Amino acid sequence: MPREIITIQAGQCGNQIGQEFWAQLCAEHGISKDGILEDFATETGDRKDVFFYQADDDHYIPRAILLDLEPRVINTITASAYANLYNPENIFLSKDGGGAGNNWSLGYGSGEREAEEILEKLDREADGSDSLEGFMLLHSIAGGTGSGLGSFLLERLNDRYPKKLIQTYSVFPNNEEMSDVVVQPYNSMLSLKRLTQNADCVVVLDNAALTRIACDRLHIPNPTFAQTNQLVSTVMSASTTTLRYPGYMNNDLVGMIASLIPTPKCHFLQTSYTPFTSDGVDHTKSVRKTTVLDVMRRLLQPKNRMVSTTPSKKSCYVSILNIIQGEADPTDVHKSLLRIRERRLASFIPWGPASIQVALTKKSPYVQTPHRVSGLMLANHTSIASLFKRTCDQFDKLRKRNAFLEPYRQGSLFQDGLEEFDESREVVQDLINEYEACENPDYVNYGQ
Amino acid sequence: MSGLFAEDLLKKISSKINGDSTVRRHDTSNDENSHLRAPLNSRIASKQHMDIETSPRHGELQNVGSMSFNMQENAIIEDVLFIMMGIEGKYIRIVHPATNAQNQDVEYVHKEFRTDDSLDAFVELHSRFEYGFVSHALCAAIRSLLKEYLILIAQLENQFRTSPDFTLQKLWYYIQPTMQTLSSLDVLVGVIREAGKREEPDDDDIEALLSPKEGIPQECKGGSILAIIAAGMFNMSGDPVTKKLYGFILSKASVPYITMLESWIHKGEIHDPYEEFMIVESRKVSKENIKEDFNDAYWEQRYTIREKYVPSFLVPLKTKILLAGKYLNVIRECGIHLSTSGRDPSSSSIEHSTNSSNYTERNDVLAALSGGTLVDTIEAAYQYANRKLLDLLLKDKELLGRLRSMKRYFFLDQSDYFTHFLDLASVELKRPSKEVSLTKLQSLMDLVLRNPSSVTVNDAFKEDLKVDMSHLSLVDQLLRIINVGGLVQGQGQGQAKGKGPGMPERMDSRYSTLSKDSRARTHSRANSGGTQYQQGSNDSWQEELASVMGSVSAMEGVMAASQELPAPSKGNLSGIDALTLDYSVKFPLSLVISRKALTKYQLLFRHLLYLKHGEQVLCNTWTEHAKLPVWKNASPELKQWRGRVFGLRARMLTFVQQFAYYVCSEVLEPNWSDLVSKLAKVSTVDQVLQIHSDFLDTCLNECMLTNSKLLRIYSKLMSTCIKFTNYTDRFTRALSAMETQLDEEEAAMAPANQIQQIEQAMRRLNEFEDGFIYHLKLLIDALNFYSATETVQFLCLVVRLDYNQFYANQTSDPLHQPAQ
Repeated sequence: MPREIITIQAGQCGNQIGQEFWAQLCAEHGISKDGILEDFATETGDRKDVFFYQADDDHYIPRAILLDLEPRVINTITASAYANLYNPENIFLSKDGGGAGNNWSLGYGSGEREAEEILEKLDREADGSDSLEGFMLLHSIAGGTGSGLGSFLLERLNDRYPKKLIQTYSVFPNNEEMSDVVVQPYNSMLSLKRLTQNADCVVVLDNAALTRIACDRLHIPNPTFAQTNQLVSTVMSASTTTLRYPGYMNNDLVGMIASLIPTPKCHFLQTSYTPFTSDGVDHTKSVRKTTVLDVMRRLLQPKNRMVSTTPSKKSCYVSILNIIQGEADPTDVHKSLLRIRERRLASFIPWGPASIQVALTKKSPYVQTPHRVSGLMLANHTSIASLFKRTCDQFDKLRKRNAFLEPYRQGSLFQDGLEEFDESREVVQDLINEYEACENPDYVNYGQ
Repeated sequence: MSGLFAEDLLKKISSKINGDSTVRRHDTSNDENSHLRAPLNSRIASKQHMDIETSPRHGELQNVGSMSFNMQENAIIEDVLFIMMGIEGKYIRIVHPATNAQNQDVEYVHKEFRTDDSLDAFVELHSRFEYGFVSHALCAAIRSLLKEYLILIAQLENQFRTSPDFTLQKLWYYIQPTMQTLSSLDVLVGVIREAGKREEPDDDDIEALLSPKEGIPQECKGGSILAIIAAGMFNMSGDPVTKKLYGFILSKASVPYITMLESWIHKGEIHDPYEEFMIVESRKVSKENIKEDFNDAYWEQRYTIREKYVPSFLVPLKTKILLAGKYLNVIRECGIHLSTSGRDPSSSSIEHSTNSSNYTERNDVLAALSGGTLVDTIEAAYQYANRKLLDLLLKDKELLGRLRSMKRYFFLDQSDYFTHFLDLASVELKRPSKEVSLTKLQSLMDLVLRNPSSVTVNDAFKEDLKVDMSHLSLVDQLLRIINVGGLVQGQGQGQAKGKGPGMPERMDSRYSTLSKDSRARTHSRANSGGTQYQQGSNDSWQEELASVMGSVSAMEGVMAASQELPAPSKGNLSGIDALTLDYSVKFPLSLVISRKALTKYQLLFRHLLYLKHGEQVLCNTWTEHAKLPVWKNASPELKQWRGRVFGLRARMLTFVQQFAYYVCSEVLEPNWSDLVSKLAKVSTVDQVLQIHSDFLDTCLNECMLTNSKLLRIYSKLMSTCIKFTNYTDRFTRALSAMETQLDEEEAAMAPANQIQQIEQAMRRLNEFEDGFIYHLKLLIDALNFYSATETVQFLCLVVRLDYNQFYANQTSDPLHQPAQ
């Protein structure tokens, strides 16, 4: 079937998110943990083939490639109930199993070394699909494997599949507080360059914001990674509902992305989701009344946003896509749009028409939620630049002192010097500038 | 004394019984005028004599006056009895009115015949076969009454002969009720006869003229007779005896009619050789046409009500009667056996009480008909037929499932299959429509529909979907439809001639743009001014339009027009522009999804397709812009206007997508859920038809497909989008070529022609930018204007198209001054 998407999950974070994501998809499509269609899953109207394919024995197998340089996470997966779900051929573990040690350079380097094996897996998956639409990369940019190997893959994918879309779900580190990984800014900066240059759409997820949401919205004092990952998987499954439950519009990735990203460079998207409920999180507030307006308004509130940004006065939305799931009345949409405009809840770019697109989709019949309507917002907002700025600041601090650079020199990319760092810094600065220009009315003439 | 009384009595008798033949007193002054020579001179009572006029025939008659009172009485009784049978008596004679037309004493002469004579004549005439069953039944009823009358006479005579004390008074007493009966009957017959006469000269009913029984006026046949009787009954409701009589007549006369009625409402059959029933079947209207023919009016014309034959007491029920039989007929046409035994006995009580109040004044009339249960029977039969057909349509034939499947295919509500189809068929669809192979497309479509991972694979009706090629572009087709009906709008026509929809509009210079701008401004001023004229013409035009979309003639016109005229854009119509879907519908459902309805579905589909196609090409352009190194690592020259190309592309994509969102989620989906909820509550089949066609009309209207002005602007915008994508595609290719060239030649020369090329491309870009913004603003203005006259829904579209007031804020000075 058309428009398949291959998921690549790299590193510890990527695989953990991926694991949650596939569990969520299985639940929504009525697929058991072994990949067999449940007896109750008789409802039609969903398209499983975007993310799964069927083996000869009717097993549903995720179009997923699991990559890691150390076996811990993947071993957990293969020991879990979902062990039989994945195609074992699609799991790649580095032979030495040493991991990347939070070193971007190591991750990138092992990518180069193992390129053949990894790309062979990718090619096999790509050949297995009728008309591949694109790739979805799940990773974090702070660590070693996800960022390093991920960056390598982004570069290679672009060369190998120049016409396929590359979407990433990138988890940004919590850069509000110093983390245990001191080289985080280096890793982030190097990855950001690839994300800017080689990805078509980056859904930015920010650990700081995820923790905040888990604390504030779900009332979990010290959320674990598993819990924040569940938030991520909820967002991911919601953002792919229009692909999996076809409706009038947004049945392919490109249609969604193209409207969100008018100028290719500004392709970093933020997400909001409301209302959150999850199995692992019992402490959610009592069930609220959910209407379309309610959901759309809450989606615009910064506290629901999964990225911590500091918007300036000029910050504005480039585009918004709301995916509303559940029993929404289409006539409510118009009212909500008007109300939001009246109250000026969202400001938009001055250089072109922009609007809130609202896609109404079905809810999975197999997953019960206490809320009638839930919504996901994918937004292109210029305030994302502040996140990059923060990364730059932290990077600059380290770079000035030339701290912790030694491990990087081992990588092939840095053998001749550390220009790569400065180049990346420049690319990210360009990106920040572009986002700032995007707030001006004469943006279309930018670059003259 | 008694003689005087007898004379008086006799007069009364004769005037009562005979009505027309009358006992006339001898009056010397106008002797020659006397038409009855019976010399019962009442005025000269003092003389105690009756003038006896010896008639020529009865020369030997004894003068009555010379007889004893007893004898006088006997003689007169005898004569009266004769007269009552229509035979002339000795002393009382009959004179035909024809002989004394000049008679001034008309107070005695109202009628042409003696009552029973007249009745006999009526019975004689109306028993002829061509008068129909109802007449026959009426005659039979009258005949039976006449027979009773004769029996009465016989009894009276017997009394007269046997009983010595049988007097004229007794006779008078005995015949009293019968006299009334006969005179009432006579009045009735007179009315029927009158009715028959009245209409004869100006009978212009074609059907009556063509029918072989031309001679029988409709007014004294079938239902109309019943109506007359019922009216008589109603008028005489103060007179219980007459009322009862009329009731009797009515109940007899209506028997064949009721039989027909029952066979109609219970079996859907008409056995009506004399054309007296209220429903006519026109056999030439056949159900097979409904699938092919636009104008087919099977549903409307197969069975119609003959208004003149609807008895007044059935008028409130006539639609139910018509529908009951019509529904049954549909069911029968489907080859489903109707068992009378399967009828639900309880159904008769369903609406028993609710409607009865409407019929209070008719209760008496209806009580006379088939024991008063007629209303209930009709009601029950209607309920039965209605439920049966509704069940047939909604359950057996799965109307809703059908519509849902049509929604899926024509409205693309789960459009994944279609995206796939467009992917597969993209090569084929790029070719001119004439060269496109339909079979290939069809097989691709089948492939897509049967793909096990598509949501369509579970659709039971996917076999019915066919791919088709239209020979007109959507806009042309719609404009034709609008123009056929909307000739009133002279302005629109003028414009149409000025710049045809398919004609590329060149804006070579700023000047022409400006002049157009000003023209548009004045134009829109005229519009928004809302002058009386404008408003008026718009209103009438709109009415016209409303009728157009539904009207048969418009469609017919379109078909005719499209067959005669070669379409202006026919030559360059590409596959994608011509692509349309077709859907085969079987008989009972084709009542709802007729060819007309299907055409509307097709129009909506092509509208959506156009949008989808626009979205797809713009998305492809986006992919190129995002992925190709030429655009990514733009050279300085390119960078200059890359932003503008992206900006314009984004604007177009926003327009196309917002439009599609509007069509899907603010027109189709709400209207659809409205349709579904209405269908769930529906109680008659006609409602189903109405609701469905309203649904389609609303959709068309709200998609602004019914307004030629909006449509033109819209098609302009869309074609600008498509042209723009072609333009950037070409440019991208040129750039790539240039790049490789540059690599090869080490960028040694930046040739002048390249600069020229870039300048040219810039000019084109300016044109695109200006054209697009100009038309989009025009569209928003027009939508604002038409939202007042057409549908408020347009405002939703305006909100969507310009959510952040980008275009609204641009009115004064265009932001995008071309970079010179």
